[in-house]
Amino acid sequence: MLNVHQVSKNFGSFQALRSIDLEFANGVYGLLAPNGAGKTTLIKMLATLLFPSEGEITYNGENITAMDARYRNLLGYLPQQFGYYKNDSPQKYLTYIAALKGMSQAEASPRIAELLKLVALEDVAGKKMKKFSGGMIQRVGIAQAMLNDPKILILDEPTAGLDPKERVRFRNLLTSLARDRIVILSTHIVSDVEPIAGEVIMIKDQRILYKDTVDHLCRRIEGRVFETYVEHDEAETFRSRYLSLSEKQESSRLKIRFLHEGEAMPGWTPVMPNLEDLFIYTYRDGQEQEDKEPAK
Amino acid sequence: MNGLTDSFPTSRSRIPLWLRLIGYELRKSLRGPVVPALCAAFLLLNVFVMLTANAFPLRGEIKMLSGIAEKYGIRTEEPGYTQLQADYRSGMEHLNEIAVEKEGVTYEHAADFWAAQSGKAAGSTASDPTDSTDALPPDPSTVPPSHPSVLSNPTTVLPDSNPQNNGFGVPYTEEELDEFYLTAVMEWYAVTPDTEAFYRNLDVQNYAEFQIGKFGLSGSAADVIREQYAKLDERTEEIVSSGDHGALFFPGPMYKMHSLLFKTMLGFLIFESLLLTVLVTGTIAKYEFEQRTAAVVYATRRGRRTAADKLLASLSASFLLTAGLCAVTLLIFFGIYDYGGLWNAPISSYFNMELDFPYLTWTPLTVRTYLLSALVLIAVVQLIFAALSFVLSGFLKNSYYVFAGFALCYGLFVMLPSIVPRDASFWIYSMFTPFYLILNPHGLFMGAGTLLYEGKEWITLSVWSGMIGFAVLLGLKRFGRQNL
Repeated sequence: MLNVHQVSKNFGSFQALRSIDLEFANGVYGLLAPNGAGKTTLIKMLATLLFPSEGEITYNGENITAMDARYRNLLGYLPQQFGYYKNDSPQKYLTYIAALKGMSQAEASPRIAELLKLVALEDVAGKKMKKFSGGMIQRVGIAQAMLNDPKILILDEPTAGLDPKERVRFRNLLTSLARDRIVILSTHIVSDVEPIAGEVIMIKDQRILYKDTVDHLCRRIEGRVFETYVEHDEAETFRSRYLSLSEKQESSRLKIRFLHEGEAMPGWTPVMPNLEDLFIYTYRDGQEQEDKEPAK
Repeated sequence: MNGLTDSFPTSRSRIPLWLRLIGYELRKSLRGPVVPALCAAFLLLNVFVMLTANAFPLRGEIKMLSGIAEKYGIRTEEPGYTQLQADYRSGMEHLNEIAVEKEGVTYEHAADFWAAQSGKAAGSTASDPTDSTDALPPDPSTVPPSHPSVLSNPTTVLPDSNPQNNGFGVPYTEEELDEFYLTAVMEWYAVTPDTEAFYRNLDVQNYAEFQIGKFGLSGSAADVIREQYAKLDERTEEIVSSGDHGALFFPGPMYKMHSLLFKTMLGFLIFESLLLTVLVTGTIAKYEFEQRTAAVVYATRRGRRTAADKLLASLSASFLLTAGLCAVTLLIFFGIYDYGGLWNAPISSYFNMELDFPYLTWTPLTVRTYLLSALVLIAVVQLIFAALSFVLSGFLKNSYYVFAGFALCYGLFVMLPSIVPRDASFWIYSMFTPFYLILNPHGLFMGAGTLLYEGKEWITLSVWSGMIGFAVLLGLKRFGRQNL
């Protein structure tokens, strides 16, 4: 069990996270918030790259900072900006990361072969990564995170650069992995989280706003999401009155999915809200915040 | 989870994990063209310096001098020296026999023969060789030393390899000229001035006052200088007593071999190694941040302890590059300049003196031991520089800033004596830095100028090693708690 107790993080006078309390058991957790809301700060603290200004993070009751290498031995981490050695091949790179993870060569070699197959890079295992596409690099990143068969797998924007087929395969992989480990998936892409996350955590104003299952979260706006058709010349007026969630062109009219907190009007069809609706609703006022974390 | 003691007890690899990780770090710094290209450029530069040195055209004579030292030994008090004088006298007799036969003249010194032949070759009338006052051995108390040898006469024309075209206009054969030349070279050693008198008359305290006046020192700074020169005076007595003062060496005024090897060559090697050290250390230390791999690397089990691997890799790379550069350069140098018979010659020899004050080492040092000591010192200094660069990298954003930060440190420490009051002994101690130490590699381990303090080298290295070691430990501890 991974616990976050009253954790705050300050960068100078800027408070990036305030009094966070979280609990993670085995399963997939979706960490959902717009860019700059503090997701990466929380993730970096879970990965021991940042230290809490207040509070503590524990694993099975023991402070992860005190656990030091023992904690990191349980950890697999894919950072948001995954750096790699462009002149290395995936094979060489993963061998190095395996050494950093304390794996013997006898352990590492079959594991690397297995993971390269899993992320469909076995054919280019010996090629230099400088010629790889973004998606291929991201798959190397996923492989390195999983090298040590971690009990805690933290993935920050893992599907960036993956094509739809790879995304589906990746989601299935995470679902199978989550049976006996904690998987924390940080993203601002709702569709990555919705199908697989046991619980979704939403951060707003540097605090945890919600932590619940997708169904429970969606019920928060149940009865407030509708669909209707509007003429093109009325669309602008409609958008100014209601929160548009999605729009689709159908024959000569627009089909608008929107949120309204009052009485339904004739011609409106109530629909089941989804996580994306909640996301747009929750962050409707917020411009994406600049990342206040000091530049390194 | 054994940290540095982790190992892979497998049949595939028995290399300990920590060693493998250091290897990975070394690979990061050495791959790419920069370091190999710099090493090649530095080696080419060093060879160019050797080939354009003033001594390069004289390397044949150097080899001959070295051969004489090898054959007769280097100590004037040993039997070999008596043999050398006997062989020289016999050579002079033979020279005069032939000179009487072919020119009807005799020469008191072989150098006179060469001066006369040079005059003829230049179309001038040679002075009466027997009347040449220049040919007399010098007064040993005169400074700088002079000698009638062919070796110290810059106008000497050396024999041509073709006897029919030797340029002297006299009927000497090539064999005869070669023999006379060897006699002239032996003369340098055989007709030695009274070196003991020179050392005994050396006014060391007067030299101290000269240095104090030159640098405008007063108070405790001047007192320290006087005290050190008083010790040097005692050391001079020891040098004379040991016989080191009269030992044979390459004639300093003519060849300046001490300066060529220890000032020019070691000077180049020191600064080349320094550039490589700072470059490699900066690259290794900041590599993960520049490649944006820090988040992956420092979140692994090894985690922040990777910084210790990087430190060890930086120190290893600095040592290996310094050692490699020095080894190749010096192998080429000693291939060109033959030191065969003079490896055990003392640096404090009268013959090694190049300017107005002899090289006086605080402990008996031969060419071999001086060179080895200097190389050890250079290696330790480079390790200190690597550690300093590593500490700086903890505060600076990238390897370029580390380079700039190091340059700034260097400038500040070299400038320190110019801003410290010259009436305090701290003025002396402000020069006790590795930055200052490497400015004069030809003056290490000896008393000269104002940086003459006995044992300054090892005091400096010990104190700085301690300070840098402490700073490194603090830096590693700080990194362990640093937000990345």
